[in-house]
Amino acid sequence: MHEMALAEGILDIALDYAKQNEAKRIAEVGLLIGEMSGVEQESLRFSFDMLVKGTIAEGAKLVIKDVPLMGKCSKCGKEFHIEHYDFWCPECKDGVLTTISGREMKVEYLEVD
Amino acid sequence: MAEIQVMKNILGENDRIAAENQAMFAAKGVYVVNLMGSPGAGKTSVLEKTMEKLKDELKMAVIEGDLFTSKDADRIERHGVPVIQINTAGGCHLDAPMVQKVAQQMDLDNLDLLIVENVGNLVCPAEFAVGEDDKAVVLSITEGDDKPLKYPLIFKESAIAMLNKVDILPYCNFNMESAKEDITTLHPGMKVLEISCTTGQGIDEWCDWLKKKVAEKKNG
Amino acid sequence: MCKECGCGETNGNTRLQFFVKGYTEENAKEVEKALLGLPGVLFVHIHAHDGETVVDYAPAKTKLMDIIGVFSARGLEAAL
Repeated sequence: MHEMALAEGILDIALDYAKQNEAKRIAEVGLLIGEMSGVEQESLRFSFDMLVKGTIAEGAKLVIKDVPLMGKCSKCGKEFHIEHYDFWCPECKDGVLTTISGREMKVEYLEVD
Repeated sequence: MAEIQVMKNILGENDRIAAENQAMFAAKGVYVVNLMGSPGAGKTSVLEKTMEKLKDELKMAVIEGDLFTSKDADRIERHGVPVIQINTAGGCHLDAPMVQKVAQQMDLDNLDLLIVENVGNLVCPAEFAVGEDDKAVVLSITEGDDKPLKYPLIFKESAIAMLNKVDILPYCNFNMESAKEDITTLHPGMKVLEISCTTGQGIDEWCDWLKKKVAEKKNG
Repeated sequence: MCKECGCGETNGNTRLQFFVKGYTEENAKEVEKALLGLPGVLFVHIHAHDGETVVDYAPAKTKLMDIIGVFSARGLEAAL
């Protein structure tokens, strides 16, 4: 997982939206990171903090909302937290769990001046 | 201070799903290779030789990618290795969502090595990560020694290149020196093996490389 | 990238044309190899006699600075 590439993607989106809204400074960037996305948050923060230096996002706080990996069984319709990447329904044995949340990797919002 | 709603994906769709796959394989300690090459280069033959050598030593599984038929999966099945065939029905490469769908239904807990044999194509597969640890490319000498420079991306992206069918080198116009030189020009330090699935030349070296990678992955 | 089937990103590659002073048959070959060795560089064509140099590369993988660096490291002057 290239957290630096992610940080670049986040910064691109942040600068783009800031420009569209004529913002002068980005104080906070809110992210939605799903459990399944495999992001190493510390590494991401480190890369992000380095990358924003000299931009209007310098010093911006990265706020990460973790989204749990939830799946719904195609057979019994019940919802479960998916453990250890096990996509079989714990109750039906034959039912496959389709993920309903936990796969996000989005910039949710910006706090700007 | 004002809040701007964004709700935008950070990565392109395929990259996002490839990252999920990578995380899943890493959590299960599975080493994954994305095996690529032209149609007829010898990818499936390399797999068959690999299974002969390694299936008693490592727990292996294969994901096969082809437009149509299960011919390759059938060949793998004969070796007693779990295999799932993906038919793209026209798509020229496997992508991360295809591999994710299939991998989620495999017993990854009891797996050391997963080889994804991509659709025969020297162009597109290099562009689409599927969640692998490394890419490997098979080029048969019958394809011509000019191919590396013509298809630079696949050689730059792969960790190892296998030049196959060297048993018939005397009957081909393939300049081994210049092909290897071109490959290392494009990708300094790349591992290049001369192999023959017919005679077995080079297969041990390839298998040793795989074993080393599997061990490294297991040790985190 | 793949114009035929439409798959891949809509060509993130850039083609640059430089005019370079100071090529010899020897260093031209060296420059070609050095450029091709950069991760994002896919194709290089050099006319040693008039200095015309074409480079196809992916800016996402290799910076222009790194490409220019190959020329300056050999005391060659490259102009776009």
